[in-house]
Amino acid sequence: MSCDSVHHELLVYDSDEEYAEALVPYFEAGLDEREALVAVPGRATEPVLRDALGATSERVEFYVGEDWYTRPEAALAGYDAAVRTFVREGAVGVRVAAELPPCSSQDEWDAWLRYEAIVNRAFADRPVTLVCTCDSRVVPGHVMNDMLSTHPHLLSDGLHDNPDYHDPAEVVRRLAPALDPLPELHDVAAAGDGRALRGALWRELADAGIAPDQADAMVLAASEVVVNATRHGGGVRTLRVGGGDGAFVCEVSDAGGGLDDPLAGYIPPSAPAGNGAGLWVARQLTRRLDLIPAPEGGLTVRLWA
Amino acid sequence: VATRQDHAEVIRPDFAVAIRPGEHACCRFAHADDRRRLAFAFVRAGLDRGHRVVYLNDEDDASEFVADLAATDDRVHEALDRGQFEVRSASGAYVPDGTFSPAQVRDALRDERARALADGYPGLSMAGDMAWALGLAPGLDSLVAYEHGVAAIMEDDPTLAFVCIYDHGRFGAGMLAELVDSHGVDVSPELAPVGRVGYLAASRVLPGPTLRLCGELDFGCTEALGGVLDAHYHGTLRLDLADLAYVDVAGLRALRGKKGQPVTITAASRPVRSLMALLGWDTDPGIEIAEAAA
Repeated sequence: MSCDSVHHELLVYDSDEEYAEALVPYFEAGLDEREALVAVPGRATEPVLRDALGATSERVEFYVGEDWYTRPEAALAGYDAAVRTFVREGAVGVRVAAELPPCSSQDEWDAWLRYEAIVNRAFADRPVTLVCTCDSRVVPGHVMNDMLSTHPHLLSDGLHDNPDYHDPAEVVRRLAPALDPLPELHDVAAAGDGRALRGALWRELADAGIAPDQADAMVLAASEVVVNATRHGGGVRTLRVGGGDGAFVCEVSDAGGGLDDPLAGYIPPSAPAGNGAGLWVARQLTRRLDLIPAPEGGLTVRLWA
Repeated sequence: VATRQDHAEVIRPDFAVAIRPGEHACCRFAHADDRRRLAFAFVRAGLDRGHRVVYLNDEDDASEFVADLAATDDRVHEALDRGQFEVRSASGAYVPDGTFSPAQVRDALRDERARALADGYPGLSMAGDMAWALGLAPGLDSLVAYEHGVAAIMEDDPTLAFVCIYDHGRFGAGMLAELVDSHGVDVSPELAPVGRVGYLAASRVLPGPTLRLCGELDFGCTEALGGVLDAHYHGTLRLDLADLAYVDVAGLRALRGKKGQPVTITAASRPVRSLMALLGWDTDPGIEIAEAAA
């Protein structure tokens, strides 16, 4: 499946020279076009890039990878805000070169590979060009294969269509985390208005020892999911919570038609394709959010504080 | 799976009020229920602040009012017993000897505040129903003089919150137009649907006006609020959202009406600021966020 409307390119390199030779013309092309230029290089490549760019590096905003790539949801929101801000300030587009910090586990790699797939939808039809750089000496071979499946274009002696590119939803489904076994959850009465529901959730969160800021975030996230269930899912069937030792899980189940879109809530609401702002907010405010379609219909949304 | 029945509580009606300490507010109501809702909310907000609370009115039966209010708030009887809360006759307060003296009533208000402070309260919250003034002849001039006099002693001093309650139907829009301007805040009749459902209240901050919302702006309130905005607010809407303790996506979006009207946010609480950021309102060309609200 193609996704022509997003400029999301992969540069695989195995030397500083190869890295610099590709990125210098990439950034210099943006200078003529009045584009904003952003680099999120790896630790090792940052000095290489600055050096190779020479005076042009003054025009490039450098972000620190470890601060930028804390979690996929934050990186999506960060790029969204950066693009919106640069465009508002008059840039015709934004040109990014970025490198994911190396991951320490397969789960972590999977999360960032899902992110790479989501980027194709999250930034479709927006004035942004993203080159992801991958050092083949560092990134494991099987991760590199998945990297290939998440980038529609390859930057290597010019720009090419990538025959190994896959549909983002398919990639996100394939790399989805296993649904962890849950601590015992108990029912919370979901009757009454929004205020009654929030009150009940706040008490549960306080009982579980969740800090107030984090509790506020969970209450809003869960409330958005409840609003979705009310609007689209025929109402909340069950609301279950559980937690302790600073952790908290909330599950909202409805009996509606289900939701068969693993990318729901990952697309910024201000984007042309933006919808599901409630789920976007819920993903931004929680540590993790799982969409679990029930085989018999209906949807369970599991939120983790 | 355990079920926690102990969290099932009796849901009591709870109303917000969009009037702050230090403000001289005008409440124009078209329905008795709306007056009662405002009075309940104002009394409870006053008790929350620890103020002495006085409700001057001849319209409600005092004992019935107190009984209904107490059913929504356990503190009411205790507050009455210790003299923190009083319901008194409005005509007795405003026209003690059959004639209305603006200066005398204004001084009495100042004395009442001094007494509240002397008794150890951090301030006085007072609401007065103005139905007695319908009998004034010719009346309006002395009433306007009185309202200006009250405005002069307020001076944003948070030790006094004072609401003048006018029956919109009986006073009439023409007579009230002049009176409204002597107040800093106006709870106008077209805002009444806001807060009939949910814990939300609205007022107009004068001059301007800026629409202030207070309480919790959630999915459940959006229909009533959207209806009011669509019917009565056109062009750029100025919004003071500093008193919103909670807001959700549907609630925030309702502020832009059905047509995505331009808005100027003059002030915003922390929950409002964080949701505006999550929804990208900071760069939306239809939304201006004042520095104080960013």
